[in-house]
Amino acid sequence: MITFILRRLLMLVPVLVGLTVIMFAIARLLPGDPVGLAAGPNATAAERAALAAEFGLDRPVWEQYGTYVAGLVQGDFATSLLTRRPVAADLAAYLPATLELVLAAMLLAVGLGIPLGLLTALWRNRWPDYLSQVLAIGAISMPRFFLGLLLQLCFAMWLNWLPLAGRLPIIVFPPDPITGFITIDAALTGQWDVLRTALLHLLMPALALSLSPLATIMRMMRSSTIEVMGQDYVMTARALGLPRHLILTRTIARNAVSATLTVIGLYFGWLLGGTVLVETVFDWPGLGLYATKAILSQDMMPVIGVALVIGLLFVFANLLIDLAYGLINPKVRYS
Amino acid sequence: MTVPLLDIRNLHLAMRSFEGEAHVLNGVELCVNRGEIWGLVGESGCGKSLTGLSISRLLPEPPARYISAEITLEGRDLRALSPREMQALRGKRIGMIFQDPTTNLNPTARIGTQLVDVALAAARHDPTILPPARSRRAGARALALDMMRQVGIPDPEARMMSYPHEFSGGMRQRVLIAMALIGRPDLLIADEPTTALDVSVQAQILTLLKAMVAEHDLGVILITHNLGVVAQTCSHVAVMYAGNVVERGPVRQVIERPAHPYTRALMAAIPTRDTPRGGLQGLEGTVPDLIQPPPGCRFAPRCTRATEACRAAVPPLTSQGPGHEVACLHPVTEDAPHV
Ligand SMILES: Nc1ncnc2c1ncn2[C@@H]1O[C@H](COP(=O)(O)OP(=O)(O)OP(=O)(O)O)[C@@H](O)[C@H]1O
Ligand SMILES: [Mg+2]
Repeated sequence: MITFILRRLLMLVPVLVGLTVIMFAIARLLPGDPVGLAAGPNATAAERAALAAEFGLDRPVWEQYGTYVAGLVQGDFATSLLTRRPVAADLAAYLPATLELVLAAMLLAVGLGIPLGLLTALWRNRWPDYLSQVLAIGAISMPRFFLGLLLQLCFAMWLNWLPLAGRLPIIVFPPDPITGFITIDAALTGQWDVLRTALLHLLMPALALSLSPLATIMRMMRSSTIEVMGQDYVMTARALGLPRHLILTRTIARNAVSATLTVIGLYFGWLLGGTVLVETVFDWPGLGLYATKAILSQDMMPVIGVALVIGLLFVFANLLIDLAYGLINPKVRYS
Repeated sequence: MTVPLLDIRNLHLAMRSFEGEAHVLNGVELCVNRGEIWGLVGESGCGKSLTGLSISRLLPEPPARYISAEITLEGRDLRALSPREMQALRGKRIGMIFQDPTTNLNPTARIGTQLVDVALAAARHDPTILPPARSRRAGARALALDMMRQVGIPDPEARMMSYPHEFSGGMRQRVLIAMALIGRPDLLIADEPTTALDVSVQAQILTLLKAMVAEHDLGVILITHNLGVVAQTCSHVAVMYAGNVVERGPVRQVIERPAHPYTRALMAAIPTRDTPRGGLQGLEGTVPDLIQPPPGCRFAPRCTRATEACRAAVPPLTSQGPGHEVACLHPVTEDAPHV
């Protein structure tokens, strides 16, 4: 198993190389004038040349790439052209917000999708099943940012139940960072008011982000449950007089979940990518918002940094899912 | 006269499918006492498995629909039981073993867990099956270990921790037998328990089954295609054709003096050294269409002895010797040509 993990971690190398190369190429091919944008409209040609020289932008691309990679190895993600802050520090500051959002969305998607899938399979071909199938198709095909806007309109503007955007109101002091997740830190330090406010802020963006994976996981769970219910071992379990709840949990659910897990793994990466739009709609101070702002000012170093972090997380998430898969399904024991 | 362990009468079952409703069981009659091993034989599709599943009411309705059925277990009407009461009988009074040991065990649970679960479920209705122990779970574990030993699984302590895919086919079938017997059932229904196994393992499993029957005084229905298995293992045999039991009786009688023309054809089809290989010898045609079955004896269209009377009504089982009954108006009376 150790070799399995090591092998998977080795896979990171080509992923990172690929990502940096592609991102560098895009940064160069994009038409535009990042130096001009950063220097401002009134800058003289000399000032611009100085700025370009400071950031090495006057060098050939391959040399810029070499410098960047040399920095990366030491944990240096270069410097933002616009803010002049080290990108690494920004990434560390924005990552927890994104992770909190993505994990909350994942929790919603898995925590609701699995039981709903199981239930609709048991109610197969009755009206609650049909209804949820129709809703699921709707949820899958609806664009996330549009769903986010709809939620804002409904729950923040009309009903006024939930805050419109943001992670916490400005007047609320966030708890001292322990994990960087405001909800968990607030709970750890016993600041229940802050926890409540943070959860209310988290709910809508997490919902907007999770609805499509929730629907997909539900449908996947439904079809694998139906498949499992037709298996011989379920008939055997009934013939042996096992109680219904045991057949449902140990026999049916467990086998159906193991089939659904692969989809969940894929969706984690999808969620990470999806945060960019949702964070923008909900003004959620995470990597997505950071990247969006950087893209708008053609400041490429932060964008490359975000892409790298998301790539890393994606590989780690899949590794975790594979490990979980091995736990549930004994036939797949990492070879 | 004592009440038989299992008594099936008048079992008519229809199955709904795309083409229509097929009348798949057409008045099955079967009677099993303790200590008897009944072989249930017949061509593929004649309704052997459905008969077995009907006993423990495992067929979903629909697609299944019972037109009529009288099934009693020691005088108790199984059809009248509530789903709860029926579930209490499964595993506890009626044990079942199915054909394919690769697909009948839960692939994601340890062998030990699966056995212990069945033992606990059975103990809910009869705690006396558990040996005395600190807790029910410990008792169930001890019983599971004991059962694994009885069915000949070596090193049961270690094997409890294994998953099904780590077992060979023969070992898995032993696990299934252990699971079926752990609740101390009175009736065991084994649907082709050895078909998926190779010949030497098959012989071991059958020997094991016989030993279990002798030890626990079970009644058994052994569904099989293999008349050799019947001759070696069973005390009685029932021959089915297109949803009917056409002949039944003690194995010796039926094999030595098969009275139904279909039984005769079935016996002749056993390849021996002198007979050429091939399909059912001397049998023309195929099984009748069960969606619109012909009235009367379902074998009549293929039977050389059939008369008008055969085509008019289904012939009832009539005595042909001690315990030997046949559903035929023109039974064969000579001895079988071989065996
Ligand atoms: N779920 C079902 N839906 C519709 N028809 C079915 C279903 N299951 C079985 N049948 C039909 O019922 C008939 C009897 O099936 P059964 O499984 O009892 O045969 P069998 O004697 O056990 O055959 P085999 O030796 O191949 O196992 C067959 O003609 C089959 O097509
Ligand atoms: Mg069968």
